[in-house]
Amino acid sequence: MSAETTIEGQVAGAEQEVPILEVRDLVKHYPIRQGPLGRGTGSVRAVDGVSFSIPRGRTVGLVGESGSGKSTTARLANRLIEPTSGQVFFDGDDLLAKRGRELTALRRRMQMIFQDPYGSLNPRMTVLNIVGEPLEVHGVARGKARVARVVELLETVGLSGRDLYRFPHQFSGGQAQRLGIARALATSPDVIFCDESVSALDVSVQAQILNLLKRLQHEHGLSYLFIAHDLNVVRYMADELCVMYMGEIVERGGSDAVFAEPLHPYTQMLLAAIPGHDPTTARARERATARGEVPSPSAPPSGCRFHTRCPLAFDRCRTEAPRLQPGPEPGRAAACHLLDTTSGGKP
Amino acid sequence: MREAPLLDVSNLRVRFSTRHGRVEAVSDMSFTVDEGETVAIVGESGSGKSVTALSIMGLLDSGRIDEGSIRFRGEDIAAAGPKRMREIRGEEIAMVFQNPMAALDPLYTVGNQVAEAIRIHRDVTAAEARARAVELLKEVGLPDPERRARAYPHELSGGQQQRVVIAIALSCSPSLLIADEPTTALDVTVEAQILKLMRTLQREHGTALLFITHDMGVVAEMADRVVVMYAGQVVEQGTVEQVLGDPRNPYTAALLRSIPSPTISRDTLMPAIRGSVPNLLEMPSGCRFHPRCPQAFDRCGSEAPPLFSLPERRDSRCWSHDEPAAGLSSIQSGATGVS
Repeated sequence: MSAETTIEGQVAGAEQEVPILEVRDLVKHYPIRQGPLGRGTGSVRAVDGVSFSIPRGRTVGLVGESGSGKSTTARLANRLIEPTSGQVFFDGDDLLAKRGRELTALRRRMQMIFQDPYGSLNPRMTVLNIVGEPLEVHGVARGKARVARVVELLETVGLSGRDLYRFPHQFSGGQAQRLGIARALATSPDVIFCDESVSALDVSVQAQILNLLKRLQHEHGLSYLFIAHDLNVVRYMADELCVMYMGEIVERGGSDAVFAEPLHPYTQMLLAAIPGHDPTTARARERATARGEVPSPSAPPSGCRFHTRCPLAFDRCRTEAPRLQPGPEPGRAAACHLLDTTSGGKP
Repeated sequence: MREAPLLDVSNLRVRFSTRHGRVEAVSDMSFTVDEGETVAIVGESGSGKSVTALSIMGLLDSGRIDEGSIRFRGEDIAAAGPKRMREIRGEEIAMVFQNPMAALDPLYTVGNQVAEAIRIHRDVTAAEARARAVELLKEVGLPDPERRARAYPHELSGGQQQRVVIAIALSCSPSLLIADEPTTALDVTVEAQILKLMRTLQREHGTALLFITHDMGVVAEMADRVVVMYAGQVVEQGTVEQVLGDPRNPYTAALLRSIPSPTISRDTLMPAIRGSVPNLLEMPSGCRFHPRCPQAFDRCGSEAPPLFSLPERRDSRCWSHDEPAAGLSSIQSGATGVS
């Protein structure tokens, strides 16, 4: 993989290059209000100190069970919601410090593709207006130029100019998702946030959309933040993975490395739960069954948040929260006391 | 397979009347489920797999069974009246749906809902039903069942809700359990737990399972036999090893290829199937898969292929099997002239 990327990428000084998106220590706490006066009685820590960066032209995948904070992280990173604390740098600019036109100008360079293709397209708008709206909002093109640009975008995603005056319901799920992609591409973004963008599609169509996303990345040098619950899909799309559990990143690293040798017990559990497609091995293995379920985010466990489900937990895990420790290879890290080389892991 | 099957669906045809005309959601569908066996019906959206399940349960809303029979222990339940169907549902055949929150009543505790299911079919006192409900909740692995029996559905997680739905389905020890995408809404970790639970319960009670799913991983893990549907028709059936390991129908083969495998390289494109699943109102002529099929030839566009019976008790609907030299014969010639 690395050999392949070096061919295309701005290889020289890849280390020093400013990532297109970098988030530092992002936190989002939602207060829990109860009773007639709506007094705060605590908070849900949806995202609790998340840091990662997306290099140009690359894909970072976020995985984890529902409620782990993947979608909230994506929405914080493009500032659809405001973080409680933390920093977001887009192409070196402090996104959270921007206001008004400066913010709009940056937003133009990041777009989102959602899970439900129909739910994210206005049913009363024609394709021309759906795909053309961002062009108008950001003052990219008007009138004939706008129509021409929309046709070009439709052709890029495998639709055609004949679709200009059709409505979303006249498209199949896969075609509707192509529309969503055309709209996302309208402003020539640098980063596209794909939040479960292929999860609602039929398998045969999902493969087409994945291929389209790959092709667009290659042609336009796009970067993706890619979220999907199908771990094989994420491994296929993402160069790097961040594994999230209860609002925290518990492991990160190159996708192949993480899949080949997961460091964190949670990642190990998650990967072991992937169903295989070979009937002989699928049954022999009886899929290593994960223990328990995600605890309530309003009352996260003490110490390591995973210790209540971890088969390897020991005393320290119940009292002390582990920090991300560098792994065996560069770029890898996991938050687990077992990897703490200073104390040699287990007491 | 020598004994009469528990469930024998034969030449089932289901039509719906819509604003845009009549559509045939299931055409000429035949399959069997033996006692204690697990059969998976797999297909993409619009393939007719859920309509087939609803037909068996007698729960078709606006659709009608136009042809064919559904024999359960020899009795044609497609022709049974509503009273008889109410007896069969729950008592003999139970169903688990995709969305547990929609299957449970938000206004009653889960213990009450399990107890109610027991009292409908069994002559027991409220206290007995209640005690049995707690036992069932324990059996499906709900932690702290005594206390959880008093919980309302929204107080439970999705996985726990699905466990309650399974407890209700099993309350009267049905001989057939139909599960329509029971784990699709769940996380992969919880999915593994629920599937394991269903396997354990099946082993202990000898329940036959009819699994409706789009997920080949679930099929590989659960099924003895597989029925692959496309656009309302069976296109292939056989044992799980035959169909997943050595698919004969071009659709099955293409579908399996389009699933991202854990080993596919990021630098290659996915082997995708072109086009999309056909709309029931605009069914292609000839073979319904031919516009998307990489192996289609002239005949596929003009003539609808029958389900060919292949050696080793497997079937596939494809003209490529119609080669006299191969010694294959058609069991149902001209199966679908309609559409």
